[in-house]
Amino acid sequence: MSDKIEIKNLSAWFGTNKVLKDITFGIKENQITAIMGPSGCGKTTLIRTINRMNDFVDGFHVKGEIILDGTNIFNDHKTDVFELRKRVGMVFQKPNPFPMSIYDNIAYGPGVHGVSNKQELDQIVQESLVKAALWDEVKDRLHASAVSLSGGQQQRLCIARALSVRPGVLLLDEPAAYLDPISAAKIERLLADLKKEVTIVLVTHNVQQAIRVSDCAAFLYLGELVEYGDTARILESPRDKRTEAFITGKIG
Amino acid sequence: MSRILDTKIEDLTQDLVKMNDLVTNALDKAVKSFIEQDSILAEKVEGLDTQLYEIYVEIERKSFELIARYQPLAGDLRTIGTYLSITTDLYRIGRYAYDIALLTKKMKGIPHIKKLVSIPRMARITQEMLADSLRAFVNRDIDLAKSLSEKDDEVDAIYEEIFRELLTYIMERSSAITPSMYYLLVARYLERVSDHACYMGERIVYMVTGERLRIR
Amino acid sequence: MSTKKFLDMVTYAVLLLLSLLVVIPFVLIVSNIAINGVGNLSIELITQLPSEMGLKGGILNAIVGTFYLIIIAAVVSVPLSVGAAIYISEYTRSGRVREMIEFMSDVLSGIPSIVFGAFGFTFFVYYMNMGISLLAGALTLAVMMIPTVLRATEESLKAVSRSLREASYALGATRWTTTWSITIRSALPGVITGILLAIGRIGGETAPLLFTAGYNIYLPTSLFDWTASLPFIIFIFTESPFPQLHAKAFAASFILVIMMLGINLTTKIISRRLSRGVVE
Repeated sequence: MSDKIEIKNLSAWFGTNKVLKDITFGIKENQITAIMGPSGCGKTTLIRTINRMNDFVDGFHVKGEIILDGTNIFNDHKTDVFELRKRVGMVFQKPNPFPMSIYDNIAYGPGVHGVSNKQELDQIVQESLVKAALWDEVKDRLHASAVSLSGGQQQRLCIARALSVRPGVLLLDEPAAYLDPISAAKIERLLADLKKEVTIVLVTHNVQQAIRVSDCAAFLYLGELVEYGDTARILESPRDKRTEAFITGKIG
Repeated sequence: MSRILDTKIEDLTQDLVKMNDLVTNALDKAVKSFIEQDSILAEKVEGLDTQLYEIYVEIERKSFELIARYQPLAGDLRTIGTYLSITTDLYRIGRYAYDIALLTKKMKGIPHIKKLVSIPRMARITQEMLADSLRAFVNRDIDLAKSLSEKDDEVDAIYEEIFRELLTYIMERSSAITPSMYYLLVARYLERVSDHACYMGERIVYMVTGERLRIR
Repeated sequence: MSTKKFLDMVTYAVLLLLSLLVVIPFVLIVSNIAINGVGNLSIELITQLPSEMGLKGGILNAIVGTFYLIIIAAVVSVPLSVGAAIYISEYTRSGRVREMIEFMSDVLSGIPSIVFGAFGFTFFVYYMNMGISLLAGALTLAVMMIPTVLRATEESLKAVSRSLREASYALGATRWTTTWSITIRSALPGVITGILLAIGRIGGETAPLLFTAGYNIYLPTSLFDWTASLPFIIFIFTESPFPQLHAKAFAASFILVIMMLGINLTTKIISRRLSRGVVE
C-alpha cells in the first residue's frame, strides 16, 4: 500500500513556540490512520497543517515538507491552496452546519468550485449523503434547515458536506467528541466503509476509539512523533515505553 | 498513577500463586501416594480436585471481568492473556495429579516390582520446574523462564530411560506387564507436567517482552 | 400576620403600583390619540391632498412624503452602513481603524436630532446647494440611521461563529466567497432587524425635517422639490388655531403611531422567522 501523504521532517511554530518537532511518517492510502496523544501534544496542529488551515493564524510557520500525491503542499508555485482544501477535506470537533437547508449545505462546496448544473448538484447531494449514512434519514426533507437535525445527524451532515467536493483525503478532528455513544458508533461504522474510497486521518485522544477504528496509528507526545505503526501491533506490543504508558492510561 | 486495573491484576496474581500452591501440593501428594501405595493419600488428592476447579473458574471469571471493564491494551493485555493461559496450564497439571492418584487406587494390591528411583527423580525435577515457573511469573524473570528448557530436557531423558527400563522388565517376565504399564503412565503424566511448565515459561516471556519464544 | 408577610405584601403592592404608573402614560397617549384620531379618520383623509390651507381635503401629501423620505433614507444609509460594518468586521483586525470607526459611530448615535436638523440645513440645504428638499431631508435622516445599522450589522457579523467560516475555508472557498455566502448570510437576521429599528427611529423624527424638507400641499415632483411629512404636519397643525387642523393632527398622529407599531411588529416577526435558521 502506497503513501497518500508523506510527512517529512515537519516542524512548526506559533511565533517562537515550537509545537511540532521534526515529524516524519507516511499516511497510507485507503486506510484509517489515527493520530493520538494527550491534550496539547500537537495532533490538531498537525492535521490543520495538512490542509493549511493554520495559514490563517498569525505567526504560524513551518519547516519540512508534506507531500500529497507527489507534490509538496507548501510549494506555492505548484500548489493552489484552495485546490488543496478541495482535495483534503476536514470535519471539525463540534458539528458546524451552515444555517441553511440540508441540500444547500452540501451543494455549497461544489458550488464554490464551479458546479452549477442542478442535476449534477442533485446527484452530488445524494451521493454524499449516502456515503455519510444519512440519506435515508433526510431524503424526504432535503430542504429542511440543517439546524433542525440532531447532534449526531449534524455531524454526519458535516461529513457529507466534506465529501461533496470528492476529496481524496478526509481529516477528522475528534469527530465524536460532542456525540453520544450511539452516534459515535454510527460514525465509526461509516468511516470503516468510507476508507475504501477516501484516505482517512482521525485525530483523537480517546485511545479506545483509535484502537477500534484505525488500521495504523501514530502517537504524538509534546510535539514529537513517538511511535508509528500498524494498530494491531501497537495494541499488543508498543515499542516505546511512552506509547505503552499512554495507551494503558498511565499518562495523558 | 496507580490504576484500579493494577490493583486487580495484583489480586489475580495472588490467586494464581494460590492455585500454583494447590497444584504443587496435589502433585506432591499424588506421586507420594503412588510410590508408597497409600490409598488414603490418593483420596485426599481427589478431594483437592474440586478446590482446584473452583479456583480455576474464579480466575477465569475475574479475567473476563477485567477485559470487559478495562479493555486492557499492550502490556496489560498480554498479562491478562497470559494469566488465562497459565491458569489453564495449571489446571491441566492438577488433572494429571488427579490421574496419578487414580492410578494409585487402581494399583492397589499389586506390589512394586522394584524400588522406584527414576519416577521420584522425575517428580522432583517437575516440582522444581513448577517452583521456578512460579518465581519467574511473580518476578517477571524471563531468564528463569528460559532456563526451564534445560530441566525439560532432563525430564525427557529420564522418560526415555524409564521406557527402555520397563521394556526390559516386560521382556523378562509377564507378571511385570501390569505394574509397568502403570509406571509408564505415571512417567508419561510427569513428562506432560514438565511440558506444561515450559508452556507457562513461554507465556511469561511473551507477557514481559511480547516475543513468542518456544521453550521445549 | 407576621412582619415578614406584611413587608412582603407591601413590597408587592408598591411594585405593582410602580408598574401601573409605567403603563399609564402609554395607555393615556395611545387612548388619547386613538379616541381623537380614529374619529377623524376617513378615506378622504388618506387619499386626498389638502385644500384651503388644509382645512379641507386630506393628508395624502404627508403620508406619501413620509414614505418617500423613509425609502430614500434607507436606500442611502443601508449600503453605506452595511458596507462599512463588513469592512471593519471582516477585513480589519481589532485595531486603530476599527476602534475609530466604532467610536465615531457611537458618538453619532448620541447627537440630539435637532442638531442633525441644523447640520442637514447647513450641509445639505445650503452648502451642497440642494435647497430645502425631499433629498436634503432624506439624507439627513440617512445620516441618523447610520450608527444604528452599522452597529447592528457589526454585532451580527461578530456573532457568526468562527467555526462556520472555518467550515467554508476547509471546503476550499476563498475569503471573499466565505464572507459573502456564509458570514453575511448568517448575519442577515440581525442586519435586517437593525435596519428596521433604524427606520423605526427616524420615521417619527420631526426636528431633522424642520429645516430641511419643508412643506408642500402637493406631492413632491422631484428629489429637489419640497415635501410634507407626517411629523411635520402634526407640528404645524397642532400649533394652528383651527380645530379642524387639530383634528387632522390627531388623525396624523394616529396614522404615524400605527405605522411605527407596524414596523415594530414586522421587525419582530421577520427576525424571529430568520433566526430560526441560525446556529448558536
